[in-house]
Amino acid sequence: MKIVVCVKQVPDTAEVKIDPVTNNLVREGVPGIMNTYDEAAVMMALQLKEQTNGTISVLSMGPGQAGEELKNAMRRGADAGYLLCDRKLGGADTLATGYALAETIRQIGYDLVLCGNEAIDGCTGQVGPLIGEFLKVPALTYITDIKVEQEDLFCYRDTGKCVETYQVKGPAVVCISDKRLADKPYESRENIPEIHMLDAAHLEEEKIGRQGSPTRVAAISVKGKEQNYLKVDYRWDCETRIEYIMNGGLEKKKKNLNRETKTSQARLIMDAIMKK
Amino acid sequence: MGQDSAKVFRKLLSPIQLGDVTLKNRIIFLAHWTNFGNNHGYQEDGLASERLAMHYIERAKGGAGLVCVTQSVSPGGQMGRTMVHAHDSRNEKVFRFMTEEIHKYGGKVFGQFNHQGHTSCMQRPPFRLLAPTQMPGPHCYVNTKEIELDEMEEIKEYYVKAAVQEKEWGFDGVELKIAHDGLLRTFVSPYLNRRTDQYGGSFENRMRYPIEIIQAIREKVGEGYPIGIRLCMDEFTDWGYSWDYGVRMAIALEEAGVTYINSDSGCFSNYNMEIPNNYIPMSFGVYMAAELKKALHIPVVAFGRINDPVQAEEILADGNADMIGMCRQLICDPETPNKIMEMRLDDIRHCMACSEGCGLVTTQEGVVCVQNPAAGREKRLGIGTLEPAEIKKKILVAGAGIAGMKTAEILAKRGHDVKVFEKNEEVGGQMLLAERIPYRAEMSEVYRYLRVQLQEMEVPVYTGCELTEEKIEELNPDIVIAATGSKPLMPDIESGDVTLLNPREAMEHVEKVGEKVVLIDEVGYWQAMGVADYIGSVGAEVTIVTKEYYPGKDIEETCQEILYKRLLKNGGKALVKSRLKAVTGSTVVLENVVTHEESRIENVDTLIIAGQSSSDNELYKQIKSKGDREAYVVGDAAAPGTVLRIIFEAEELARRL
Repeated sequence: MKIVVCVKQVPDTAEVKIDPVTNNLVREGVPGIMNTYDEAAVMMALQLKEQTNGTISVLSMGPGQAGEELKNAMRRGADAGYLLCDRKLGGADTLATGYALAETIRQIGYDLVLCGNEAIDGCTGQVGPLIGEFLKVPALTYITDIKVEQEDLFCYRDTGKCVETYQVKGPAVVCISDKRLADKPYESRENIPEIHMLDAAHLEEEKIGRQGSPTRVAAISVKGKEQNYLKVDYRWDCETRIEYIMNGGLEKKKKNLNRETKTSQARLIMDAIMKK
Repeated sequence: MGQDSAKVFRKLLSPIQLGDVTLKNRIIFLAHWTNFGNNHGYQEDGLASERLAMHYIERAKGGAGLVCVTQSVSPGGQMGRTMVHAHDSRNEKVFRFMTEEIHKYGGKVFGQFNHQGHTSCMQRPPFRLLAPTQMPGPHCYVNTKEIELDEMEEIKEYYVKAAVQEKEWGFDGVELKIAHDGLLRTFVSPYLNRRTDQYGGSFENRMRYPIEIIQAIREKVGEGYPIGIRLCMDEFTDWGYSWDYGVRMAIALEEAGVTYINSDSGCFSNYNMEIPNNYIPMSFGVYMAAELKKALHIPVVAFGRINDPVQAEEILADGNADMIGMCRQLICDPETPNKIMEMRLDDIRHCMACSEGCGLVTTQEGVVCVQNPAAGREKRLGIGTLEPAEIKKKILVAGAGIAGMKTAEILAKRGHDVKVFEKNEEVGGQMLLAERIPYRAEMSEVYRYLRVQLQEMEVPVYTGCELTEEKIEELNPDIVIAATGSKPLMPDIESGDVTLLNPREAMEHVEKVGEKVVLIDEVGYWQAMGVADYIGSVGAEVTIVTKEYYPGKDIEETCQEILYKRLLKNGGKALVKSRLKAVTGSTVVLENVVTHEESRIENVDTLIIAGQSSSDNELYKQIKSKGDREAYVVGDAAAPGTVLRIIFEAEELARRL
């Protein structure tokens, strides 16, 4: 199976600061990381590669430094990396991005496209489905697991209330939403192939970059700015008011830490060793 | 820093108009009880002192836009006899000096007046307590006298006299307290005022007396003179009113012509919401100011654990208040406003709301501060008193707990060449454990502030590096400071099947603590109750045992109350007047210290003994006995104690060298 994984480099939000004067994100000097959901998609691809004896190509669109994330994916076991890097692509919205990626994937060749469900910096969740639209193949979102049985893919879609199972005949675009996959351990390899650099020559100019992006951000407002404080209802009884204040307006969270007991497994093993 | 503070803190550093008075910024040093008045007996008490004046001047020097000075009116109106009287003409000299000095720094000063009513019981034995209706204030058992109309008239005259003469002495305005303590709140409170005359029964009647006082003052001081109200918005008691009633009162007060409302909450029946400690989140009270803002046209002051300029600016920028009340923050770091103006934000020493120093006022002691040794000692230790060292010396400090870091900070500020050695990987000493107690994370401020100071002065701090005799020989300093801390002492007892831990081990390795725990409190401080809260919060069943009448005897009273509640809510128990007798198998045997009756707790996993610590002062003794160079010992290494004493001791030592 030929798998293409789309990855995006995003600013490390833990390091992002807000300019107190302009209220804009300060991106300068903020380190880039691989979008966590894309990382999950890479790890999913590695699982499928092992099961189907397939190959993995990773694709990113962005400035030269985004190549770091392709290298990162290849160190984990992806076979080839493609970086779509051209000034003409700058200022792209999700539509233009979806088009550019889809056309490039078509050139690379694919049986399955894996994407992160959304990027942690933009959170639109639109690019994966758009790739599906442009390629005219099924696109599935919020997928937490994929099983391959002969020609068919079984995709498990977690809606938050239940898990839906989809049976798909490839090719397809599948968007991965289980962030925990990103934390799976892997063996890092050292010798990785060179990145294939691609420009926008194979793309229609009016469909890419600013020109191909109809989206305009009308306004951004900070959520709940007027109520940027605990709101306490005067009708609650005194104890409720105080409890609410002390919990910082939150339900109490119980911490669970493992402590030793006389019958705990660790203690029993220790005792057994000590007796010997 | 390059950034312009006036742009970043656009609101906080902008002026505001209160009547005829312009404040240079929005930071108010809130009125508070200091115990700094002089008391030489009845009628010779309530006298303003130099210490009192210096305390307030220091905050103006630090850049506060407004300083409010707590005072009592009428001879029976003090909370304690060291509360300074507003009506007493003998205070003229000190107050003229104080207002002049405050004005020199561009600050303004208001007198806050209060008759203590049923809360005068803080002084024992109390004077005759007054209240609208005869009943003890719910916080104590001392009964009151129902105030008569002629007494009300007399007290009103004291209010007016005080306002008029203080205007003459250079005060810029007056603030009346209808807040957590005092006579006026008892009048407005539907629970405490049960009168049937024109001063009780209806809302208008309950508001009548305060409004009469406001109008009488207004008549004498003129239109533009600011009269503000510190208003209790929520009594936070089962019987008390909530903020809806607070807003209703504020509207009536605005109509009566007051200049601004300074919000407040809690009362003597709920100290925790009056003097919110570290269990109450920072800026918790903003919702009350915000509700006032929606209802009023006059300026509103936000209160309640606001200790940070960003937080303060946000409150103002969001339109939730017009001014920021800071009390303990400015006790802790009087230079907060100046540091904001200079964009030295990391240098701000934040109040961590421990109330361990300033809370001492309830024991009739003067205000001090755990982190700021200059609080209450402004004349000797305040802003600008730190002199450069005459002879610059090479000084090594062993230990980067708070004693070592504080000593190093002051030594370096005086120009000495200082190096600090810490054998552990992290600086902070025992504060690293104290901050793990639930809700106590802010305790880390003590070492955060000191660490930043040392970094800024480029004082080297070698972590993971113990200062040994050999190293001292090699580096050949003039002076060695031993701040080497202490070790917990454990009694030599047979612990049977029970795991025996000291409180530091329990904090550090909570995994060693079992399901059923007995905790012996032998020091009455956080070592027992704090550990109990920590392990109780993660599910251990705790019985705390003390020889006293209650555990945590020496913990600051608001924290003590919360800790005790949390102990019980987590399913814990306290066994008082008891001591540890023996451990047999997994049974802990306890004994009542009065009756010698035995009690047993069975199936115990863990026994934690919060006992004394012993000073770890080997290095000091070695250097001292050699006698070839100066050596000093500070902090726990000298005598185990609390942050309050240790920071003070470190400052004193470092100023001497």
